[in-house]
Amino acid sequence: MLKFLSPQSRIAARVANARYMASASPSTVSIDLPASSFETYELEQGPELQFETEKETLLQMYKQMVIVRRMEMASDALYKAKKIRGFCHLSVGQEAVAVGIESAITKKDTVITSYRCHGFTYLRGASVKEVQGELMGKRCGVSYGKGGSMHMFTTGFYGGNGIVGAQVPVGAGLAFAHQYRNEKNCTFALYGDGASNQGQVFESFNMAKLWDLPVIFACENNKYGMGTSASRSSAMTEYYKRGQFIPGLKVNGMDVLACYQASKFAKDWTVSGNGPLVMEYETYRYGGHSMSDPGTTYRTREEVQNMRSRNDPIAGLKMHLIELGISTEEELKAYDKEARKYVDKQTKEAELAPPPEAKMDILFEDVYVKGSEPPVLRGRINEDSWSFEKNGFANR
Amino acid sequence: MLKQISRQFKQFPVSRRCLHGSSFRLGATVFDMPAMSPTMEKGGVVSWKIKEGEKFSGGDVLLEVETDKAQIEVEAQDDGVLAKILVPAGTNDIPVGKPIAFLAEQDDDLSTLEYPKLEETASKKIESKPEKAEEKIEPPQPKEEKNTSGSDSGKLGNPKQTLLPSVELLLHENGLSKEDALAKIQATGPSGRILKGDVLAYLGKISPELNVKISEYINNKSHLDLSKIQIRETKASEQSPSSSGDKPAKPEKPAKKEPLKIEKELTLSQAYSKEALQRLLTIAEQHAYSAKLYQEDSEVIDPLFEEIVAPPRNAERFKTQFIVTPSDNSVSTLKLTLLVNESILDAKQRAQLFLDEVKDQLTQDNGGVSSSPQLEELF
Repeated sequence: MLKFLSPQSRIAARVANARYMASASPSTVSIDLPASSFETYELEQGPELQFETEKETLLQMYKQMVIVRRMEMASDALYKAKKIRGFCHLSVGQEAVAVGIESAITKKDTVITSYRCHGFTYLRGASVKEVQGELMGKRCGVSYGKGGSMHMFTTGFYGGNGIVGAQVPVGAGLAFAHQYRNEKNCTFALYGDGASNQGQVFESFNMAKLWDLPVIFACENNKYGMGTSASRSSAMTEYYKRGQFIPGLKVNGMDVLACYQASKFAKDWTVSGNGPLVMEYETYRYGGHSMSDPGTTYRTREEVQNMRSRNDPIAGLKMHLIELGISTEEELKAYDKEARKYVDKQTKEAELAPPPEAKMDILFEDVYVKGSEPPVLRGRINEDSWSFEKNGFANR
Repeated sequence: MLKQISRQFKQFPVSRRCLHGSSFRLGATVFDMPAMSPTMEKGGVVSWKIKEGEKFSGGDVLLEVETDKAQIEVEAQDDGVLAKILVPAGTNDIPVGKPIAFLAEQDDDLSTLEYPKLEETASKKIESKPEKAEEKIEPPQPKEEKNTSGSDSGKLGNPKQTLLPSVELLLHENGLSKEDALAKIQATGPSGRILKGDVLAYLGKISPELNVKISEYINNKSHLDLSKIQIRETKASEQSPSSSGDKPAKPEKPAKKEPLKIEKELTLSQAYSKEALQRLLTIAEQHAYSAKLYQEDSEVIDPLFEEIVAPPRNAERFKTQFIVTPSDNSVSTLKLTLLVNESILDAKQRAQLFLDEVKDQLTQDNGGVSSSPQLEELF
């Protein structure tokens, strides 16, 4: 609510907050979200608009968002220097979704997303060096330089997926694993507004509801698919209602606090046996769909600049941090600089790292998890069969 | 209010521990020529949209770049100041990765800013290194294919093969193991592969010759037989000068064919200036080139098709030279020489049209032209 008040009433609100805080523990703050943060579908009770959270959590979110944005900007520069080749989808502008989800879940929960996955990979535990190394095809990369932009995996993160929408059924499977093992964990299966019209998404909805799987189908609606606005490609753009028989929740994806609160609600809701939930994070990407899209042919530059200056998730949280007295402008600025320094250093290290050696055993090493491989991996022709026992071709 | 905030601060040591003071500063960053498409090697700076020393924020257009395909606006990723422009607008063919400007942060003081030293060839070196390394990689040694690829009829099976499902089933039904099969059965398949027929022949159900016949047939038909092709002999007349030359090893190009030469003499009853004649010839040439060589009102001929199959309109069919020689009294002779490029289908036809046109023009002007009959026989 703070955002929309006049300066005078802001101060009043701050005083009220301070008074409120006096009764609460000193390390927590009370957050009041605007009523427009959420919209529900077939849900009796949505997330609470007022909640308490640790100050450190807020600061952590800020740092994470800044690092993710810096990392994506560094990737952009590397791509334009031709050091990253092929596909590269950046999430500049959409950081609040990834950071909000990550802050709301634990490392035991699982996440799977589309090819716009660099931020998630970092947040789930990979270092910036590992992500950048992967993008440049270096051995230090998170997939040992053999996956590239769309194929990053780390503990509790089951990847970007190169196929539009294909991660959604896999996410339902991950949730099934949680249910099967009686774990109190959930899966976030993310997809874009473009992928939401894929058939397999609806197949997953059906099966997840049938078995009441603890899965959150989270649509990251950045308003444009590959060169097409959502309203030109989807008959119904209220993606949180797409579940029909599954309750839905729409969140302001440009406000990290709303994302955090909604994701926390979604986790609690699904793990307490209510079955799946369809979520829509309404966000915006500042760049093109991928590096080969200038991003200004199907929308105006003014629209992008308007979003940047009014709804930026980082600037939004920055304002909250200052207003709540958690940090000062100078401290945050210093942190921005340090984040830039850190990302630049990690990127430089990744740049200087060697690519994987051109050896056959390196090519085959990651087909199976070590210890679970069959004796022979059958090849296209007899001569291509690879023996894991011999560590060489079986029939050559 | 401020006091309140600062008090809260003391209660929250984490923030101070993690955050630095703003004492350190980063120097200017180099802005390199961006590759706006994966195929872009060079580009031009069309214009700078931000002036030197001017502030910009993320998403603003910094400059317009001309690539091999289009003009693209380059956006700033972050807020900053354009500290210095290294490449002025209008410069073309700037290789990707070459520094074109220095950027700084918005609160940096431009007068005290440290500029990093530019390594002119740094980007090129990095790019060229891996290429050299690649060259060093030895070409894969050709495997001794002869041993395995020949489908000799008298051979036993290749022990490394995975048996075909049909073969495996047949062996199983007849109580034979894989080892037995490899030790006893003659393989006729490619690379020493045991085929179903081989097992059947081994079991005595079909005659072994059949398998040999089939494998020979396949062997013969599996590649294109070029043995019967004869190379056409080159003409003796063309070869002889080259063989007598100093360098017999280097095949000389066939002698260039002389262009067809058409000469025509026309008498001019009237005095023409050189310019007037030239104009007349140019008009005639235009007529000759634009004339349609097909019947326009025919039902069988489609003009569109004719246009498509015709040689290019502007291809040069002939070259014209002319000399005016004053002969008796007032009558002078116009001598036209046409060099016809015969490689163009309709060149001769159009040359003829041109001569007719010239004749007509002169007739219109003079009311009569005589031409030498001997030369006319040429056509």
